[in-house]
Amino acid sequence: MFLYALRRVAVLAPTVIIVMLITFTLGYYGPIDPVRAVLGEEWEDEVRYAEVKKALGLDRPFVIQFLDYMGTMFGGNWGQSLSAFGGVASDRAVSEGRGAGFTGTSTGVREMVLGRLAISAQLSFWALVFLTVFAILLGVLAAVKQNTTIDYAIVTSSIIASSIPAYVIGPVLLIIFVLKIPVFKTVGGWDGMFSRQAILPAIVLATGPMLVIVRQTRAGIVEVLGKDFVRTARAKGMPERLVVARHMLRTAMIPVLTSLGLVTSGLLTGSLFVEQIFNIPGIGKLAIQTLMSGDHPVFMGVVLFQALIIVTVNLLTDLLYGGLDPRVTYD
Amino acid sequence: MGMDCSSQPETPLTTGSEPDRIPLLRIQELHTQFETKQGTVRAVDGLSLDLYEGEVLGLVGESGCGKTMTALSIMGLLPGNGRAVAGAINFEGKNLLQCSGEEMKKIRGGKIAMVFQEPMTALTPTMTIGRQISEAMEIHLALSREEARARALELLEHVGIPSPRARFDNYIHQFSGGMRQRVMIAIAFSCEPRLLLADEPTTALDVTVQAQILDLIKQLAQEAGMTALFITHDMGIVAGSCDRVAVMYAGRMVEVGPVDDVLLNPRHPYTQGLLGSVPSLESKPGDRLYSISGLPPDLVSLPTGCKFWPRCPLADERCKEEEPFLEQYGNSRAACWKVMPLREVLDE
Repeated sequence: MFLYALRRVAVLAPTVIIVMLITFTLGYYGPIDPVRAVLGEEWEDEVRYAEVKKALGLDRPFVIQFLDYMGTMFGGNWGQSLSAFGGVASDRAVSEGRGAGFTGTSTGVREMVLGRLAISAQLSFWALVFLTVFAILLGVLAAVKQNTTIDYAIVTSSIIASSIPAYVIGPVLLIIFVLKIPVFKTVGGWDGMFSRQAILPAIVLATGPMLVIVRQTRAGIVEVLGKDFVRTARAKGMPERLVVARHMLRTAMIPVLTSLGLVTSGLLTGSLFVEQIFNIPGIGKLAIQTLMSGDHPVFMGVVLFQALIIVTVNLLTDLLYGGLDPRVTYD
Repeated sequence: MGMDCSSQPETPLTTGSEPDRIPLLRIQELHTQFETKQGTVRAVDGLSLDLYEGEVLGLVGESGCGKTMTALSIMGLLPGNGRAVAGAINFEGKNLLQCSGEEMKKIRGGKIAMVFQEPMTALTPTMTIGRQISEAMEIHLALSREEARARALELLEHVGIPSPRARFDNYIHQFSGGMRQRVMIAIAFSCEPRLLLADEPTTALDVTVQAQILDLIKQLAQEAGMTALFITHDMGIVAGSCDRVAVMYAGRMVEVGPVDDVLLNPRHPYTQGLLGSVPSLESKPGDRLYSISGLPPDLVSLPTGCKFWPRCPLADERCKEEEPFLEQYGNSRAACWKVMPLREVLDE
């Protein structure tokens, strides 16, 4: 399994280079001009413009710039935010950052991305816990009570929960639990994963993928319900609870794990709406901020890192299959 | 096969020859049905059967005649919307059909165990075989996890699995078919049940292992003084392993009696047909095997009268209208208006 993991990590390198090429090309030919972002009002001054362009190294040919970029990334330093060069970009980023409770003052891309990612990861972790506990439990219950009112109620409510977008559920919950019944006094910012503030955004983040997990779990359990080995377990006189937990769940969880892998990537990279609504300085918010302000180095760092997250979660999912299904080997 | 319809039916005897004991399991007028879009499927249709302490009873018949459904009715594990709608299954003074879910859980695995046909699919793929054996003992014998493990190791050894300690933590995909069935048998015997239901335990296995598995079940059942119901369509198994045999057709019993008597002197034309379809040592290469003409009846719309008449070479008007009931002939009982000894028929 170790060798398998190693091989998979080795295959990662070309993936990363391709993602870098794509993001870099998009940035190079894209409509946002980093020089203008740095200069702000001053950009019409041609001398200043040329000066800054040279300072940022943007006057060099595409290939040289790309190789230089790769060097910076693989060197582990990841470059500097444009805010390091002063100007509008920095003002806006810093002011928004502060408003969002972001305390980091570093302008290094690595520090900015990792700092924000840590917050998104904590948020996603809670959403994932919520999903694995509640959604799987509900799915199992729906399957065991197949075609009864309980089943219909669970499936219908998950459909409702998942089809209302986060930007509707979020504000509604804010109105109810902050304005009407003040369970949560403040919103916005991030006080760490064990603060009360984390509860609402985590729930909203989890509602989106909830239906997928409930459905997958239900389908997985329903599929094994009629299997011979379940009948054998019952023929042994095992209590139904243990029949489900020991004999059905692991087999039924294999397709659910696939979905959970995809959902995890989605949570980590797509928490953008929730972070915006709850004003949480996570990586999604960083992506929006830097895209708006034209802070290219940081935005490219975010995109690259999100690509890395997706491939890493994929690898972890593949490794977890072996834990669920003893027939899976990694040779 | 020239059957002479004019030969005189054997007269029923009045004295019973069944073992003079109280049965361990008594099935009375069991009706097991499934509701389908096509109508009610009568899987078991008024079956009565006694199983006596310590005996091995063979339950034979074609596929779909209700053998497996009889066993699953006893276990209370009927699939889908299957229900035992009428009758009684008495076991240790209780009617199993009226037992609560909790009572049935105690009986299943504890008092009555079942060995299933397909060892490939009947064991959980994601659980070690050791745990699959030991978990039932934790429930029924109230053993601790360690005690159950120790006993599971003994059982593995006993059913002939080499190096049980190493095999305990293996998964089912690491076992061959015969070994899987040994595990299945270890599970069935683990809680020392009084009654064993074996549903075609060797059908899915290689011919070479079939005999080993049968011998193993017989040996273990004998050691434990266990009563067993062998469901099979293999007359060889019946001849070699059973004390009595019951022949089922279309959900009801058509003949029952001591193995020697039924096999050597079958009364019912269906039993005669079943036996006729077994190749014998006298048959020469190229001889056609005898087969019963026609197909088993549709269990949704059963024929009137004797359920076998559409396929029976002896059937007459009475057979089509009046349903025969089990009557005593010699040591056996058969349900047929035309009962006659097989020898007479074959001698012609």
